[in-house]
Amino acid sequence: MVVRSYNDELKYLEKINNYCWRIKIGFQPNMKVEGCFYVNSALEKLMLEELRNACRPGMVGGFLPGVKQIANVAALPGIVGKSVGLPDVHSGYGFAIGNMAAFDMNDPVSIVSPGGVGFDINCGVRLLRTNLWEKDVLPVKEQLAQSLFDHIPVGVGSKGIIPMNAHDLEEALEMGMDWSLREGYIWAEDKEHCEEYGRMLNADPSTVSMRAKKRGLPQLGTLGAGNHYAEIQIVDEIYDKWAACKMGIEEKGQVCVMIHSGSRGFGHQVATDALVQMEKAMKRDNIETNDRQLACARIHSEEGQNYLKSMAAAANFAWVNRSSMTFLSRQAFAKQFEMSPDDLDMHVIYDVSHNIAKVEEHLVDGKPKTLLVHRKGSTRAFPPGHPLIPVDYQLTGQPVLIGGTMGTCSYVLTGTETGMEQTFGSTCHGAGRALSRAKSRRNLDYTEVLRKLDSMGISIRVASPKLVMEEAPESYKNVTDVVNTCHAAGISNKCIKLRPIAVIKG
Amino acid sequence: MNATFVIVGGGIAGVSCAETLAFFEPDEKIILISESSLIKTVTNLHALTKMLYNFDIVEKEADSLSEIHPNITVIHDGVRAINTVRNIVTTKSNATVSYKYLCICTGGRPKIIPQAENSKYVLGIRDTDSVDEFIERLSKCTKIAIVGNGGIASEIIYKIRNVEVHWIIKDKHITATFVEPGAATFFQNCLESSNNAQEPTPSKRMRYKEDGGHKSGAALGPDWYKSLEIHGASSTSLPSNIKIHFETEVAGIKEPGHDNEHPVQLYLTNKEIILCDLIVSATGVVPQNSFNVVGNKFETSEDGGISVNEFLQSTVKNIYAAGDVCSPNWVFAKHWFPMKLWTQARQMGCYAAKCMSAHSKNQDILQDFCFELFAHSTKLFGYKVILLGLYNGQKLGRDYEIMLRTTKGSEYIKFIMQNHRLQGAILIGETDLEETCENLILNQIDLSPYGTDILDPNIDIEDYFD
Amino acid sequence: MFKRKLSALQYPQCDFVNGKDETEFRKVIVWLEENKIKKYKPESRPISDIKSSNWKKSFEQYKKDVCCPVKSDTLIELDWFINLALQKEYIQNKSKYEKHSLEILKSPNTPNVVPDNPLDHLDFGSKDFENGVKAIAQMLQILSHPDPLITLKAISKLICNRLNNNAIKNPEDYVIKGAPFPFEDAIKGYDLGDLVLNKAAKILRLLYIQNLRDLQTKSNELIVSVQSITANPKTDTKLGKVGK
Repeated sequence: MVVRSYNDELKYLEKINNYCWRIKIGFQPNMKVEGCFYVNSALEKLMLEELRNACRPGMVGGFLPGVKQIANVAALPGIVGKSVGLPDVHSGYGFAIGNMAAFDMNDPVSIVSPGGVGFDINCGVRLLRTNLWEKDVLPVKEQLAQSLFDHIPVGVGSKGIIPMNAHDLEEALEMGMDWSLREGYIWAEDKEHCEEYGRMLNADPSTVSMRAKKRGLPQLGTLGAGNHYAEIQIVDEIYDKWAACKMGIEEKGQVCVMIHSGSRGFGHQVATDALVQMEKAMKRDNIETNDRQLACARIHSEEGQNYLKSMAAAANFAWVNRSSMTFLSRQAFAKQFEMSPDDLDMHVIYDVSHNIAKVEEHLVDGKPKTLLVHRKGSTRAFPPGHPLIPVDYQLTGQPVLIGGTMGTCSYVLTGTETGMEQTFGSTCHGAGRALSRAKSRRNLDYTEVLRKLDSMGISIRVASPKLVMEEAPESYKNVTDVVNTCHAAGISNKCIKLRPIAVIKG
Repeated sequence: MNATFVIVGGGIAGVSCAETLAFFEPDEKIILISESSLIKTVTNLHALTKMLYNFDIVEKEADSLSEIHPNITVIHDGVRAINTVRNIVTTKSNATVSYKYLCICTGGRPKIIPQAENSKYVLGIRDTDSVDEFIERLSKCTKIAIVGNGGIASEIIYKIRNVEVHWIIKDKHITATFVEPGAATFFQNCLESSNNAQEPTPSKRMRYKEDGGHKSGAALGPDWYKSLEIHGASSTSLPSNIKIHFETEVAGIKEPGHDNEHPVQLYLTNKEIILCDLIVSATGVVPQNSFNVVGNKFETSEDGGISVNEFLQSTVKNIYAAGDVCSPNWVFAKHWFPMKLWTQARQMGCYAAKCMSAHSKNQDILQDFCFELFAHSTKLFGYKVILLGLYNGQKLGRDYEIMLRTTKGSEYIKFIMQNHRLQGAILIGETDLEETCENLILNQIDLSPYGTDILDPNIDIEDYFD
Repeated sequence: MFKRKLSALQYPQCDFVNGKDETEFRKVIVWLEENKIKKYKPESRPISDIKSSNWKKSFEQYKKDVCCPVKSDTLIELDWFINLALQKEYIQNKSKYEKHSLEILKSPNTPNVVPDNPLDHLDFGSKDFENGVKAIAQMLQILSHPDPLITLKAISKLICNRLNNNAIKNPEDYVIKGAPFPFEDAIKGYDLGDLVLNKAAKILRLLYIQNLRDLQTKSNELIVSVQSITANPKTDTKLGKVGK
């Protein structure tokens, strides 16, 4: 990492307009292209504050600020366009979460990086609509939440309610939602309203390690802990009446169900296995990066191809997972209201992935190119008329589902032509909060604890609070700020706002 | 009688095994032999709302199992003998049940302080019946002694009201079975302030009375104390007076008779003498396999548990064992080790069922991933407690480092690090770190760049590794 | 909005016609009748006097006489009359236009004659046939195409889809419901530099989307029929009762 003062660092950053900043070449070593990030005035403060903190003397290692990570990605071989930071960007493993980067498939040095996808491969959001209204649900809210709890296994180590053996898993990894369809867990229409139709065709279970399969098996159909949740939501605001109408959202007060989950332990294992392989490949092919966590391999190398195939399998796993939970949510609603899910009109509005790498066609400097687009904490947002979005959304643009952090509002956006041009059809994914609201102030007098532990003769380190953090009281990226920035910058349009009335969490 | 699958024991392991089998083998006949007419099931998912792992264990009449799973027959009887040559189980009432595959899930029985065997003032707590008895007898006591340092002892201490308690533990700190001294200090603070905790909710759980003599019921579930009200005889609502006697054990017991205010005298190894009305022995369990084996004998471990391989097979063909009665005997994964816990009883029960089902069809089976990482979730002193991996540095000798973050009265987080990689963790309170820790341990990601920043509460580490 | 069509008819002030102005509307109608449609003889045209208080009445009669199916909306009426004029213009100069496309037009206009079918004795080119088709079209409120066979096709489509037994019994199942979609404003994203071209492209896009929707619906139906064979959703009942 280059050591410079904060003011010197600022010389490499340029505000293009009220919603977008440029990161100039030279901010980090070896940058092949420029970087940029989208922020409004509130998010801009957080972004710069994070950088300022990192510039203080003695701040080496630890968590790199998001803006540095975006620039490090811009230094990866084969990158085209820009390394884009979305408004909810925050630091993550290697790549920042909220970073989009595209690599030219026809450039032999181009790379694929597991860090650019994330560990929770194909973590994503699915939204189901219902024809119920808030008044129908409020009186039975508790029972309904309980029923959802009962149907959806949550938490670490929780096991799926839908039993699968090793053979089923193998098929599910290959077939994705087609497996769920074949087994009858979901409706034909669900597939249609899902990115990639719920199946990555290049998935190859034989590239997935045994350990990953073992790790994944007990977790299918479970929600996971951490930031995964299922929510019962109410339509709180409609910004684009026609687009909402195409999604089956008529009025404020309509009830929806949002499911946020991913590939869980399975994806983690796939990513971990790939990172180990890629470290070897980097040595062999002399690939250099600014950060060890940016382990990568050439797209066309064996390691690169194996990762893409196993990542696709993990993506399929995540879709089966969300499909299983769709099935279970429908069952829970059906039981509560004694009506079939069909009669409750519980259709999937859309299903987005925000941790994935995909091969897509884009215009680069006016010429069509085939790119490997890494989206980590970033959602695809294709404009109206794009051939890869479902027929029902050909006129509105692709729906983009933005899950707030638990308890805050969620949004539905739509893709735009501007987004297609500026960010390769990508927008934000959620609230973004690697820097969290200071959750708890540590106030324990450690001496007694340390004395007792000391008797074991083991070295002990205590996480000490950092002075700098005290200065950023609200270091939390609000989902509304994030979404408004994307709207104002034109990379996606606001369509619907949803507010939660019940949360099921691991 | 005969069945393809026979399971002995109506505890968590046995019932989990029967239910899993019923699911995988809906067309095969399954017989569950349970000594108690009540069985433990994990059907009630209430607890799941608040906690991972934490299924509410509910006692149900044995017949209810057959109602849900028509291919399960429950026999209310004990096992006297197993003929491993002819594949026949003989019950205490002389019925014979022949099997193709047998799973032994007879659990454990409480270890009673050796000096106190047969004393009417000593009560072993292990199963539901003994808790009922405890509650009844406690209502006549004003001063009791509790021996043992495990989860059950810890919970009794936390819940008891209106009685003077002497807690005798052999370790330097409380709840040593689960946590190390640091966490114990965290708890001890809570214990000291728990006297003015809110009133416990009255018991809502329906209890059945069993007719007839004393039988050994199934082990307590994870939340056994949750809805109990444990009150002593002190008429005024005095704050419980808890005195902890560290690093001491019971040397002897005398019963001077009823004339004294407190009928029992407890002699401790540190020369102290405690007068009390009742001694509660909660010092753990030993495997219970008090049936005769005709034919090939099981290989057993030191504590008498049935030795099982990675597929939970005993050394005798077609006989499996799961739960507290078995002793795992395979090469353990780095971050797993056996412990007599209801979590593992349940995992083993389910896994034994999968193994039996697969073997009966000559299918290959992968060992369940739950044996790759030790994971236990429980509640202690009202806090959510999650233990992951080598949470106390087990197997690591002294070659590890501890990272700590704690907030008095709210959370206690300890990471066990070796080579900058996470090996285990204790998470107390609402930390939201469990899935991240699970992944960090399993992935063995190099955490050296972060140092103690990894525990910085201002960083949402679960988002970082998204 | 009628600029293109009116300029094709060589209407003198085609740049300024908006159709919403009543006087203007009357002017255009009279001009069309006098110069193009020529339904009435020049000496007996009651609608010629656009200032007459009876104009509306005369116009209603005129509409009847030329078989105009449009009711109420003057813009659509105007469009219809302009189309009618264009049609007359076309038929009048048919030979001129057809020089370029005679081969193509000829064969589909004369279907293969199978003598046994009584319908085949019909003379598709006759005035009777043309008027008959027109009359049916008017009854069904279908716009006539210059080629009566195409009009007949539209008529047949309407009868098959909307006037079959099921449709008459349960009209709700067949009548497409929903709010009208303001496609001209709602479809964004391209500008071909010409309003009319844009509109045409948008309509084409809508038609394309409808085709795609039909295809998708058919694939869904196919999946569902396969599902009826393969589906067997299982749930682990021990973790809570699931399913029916």
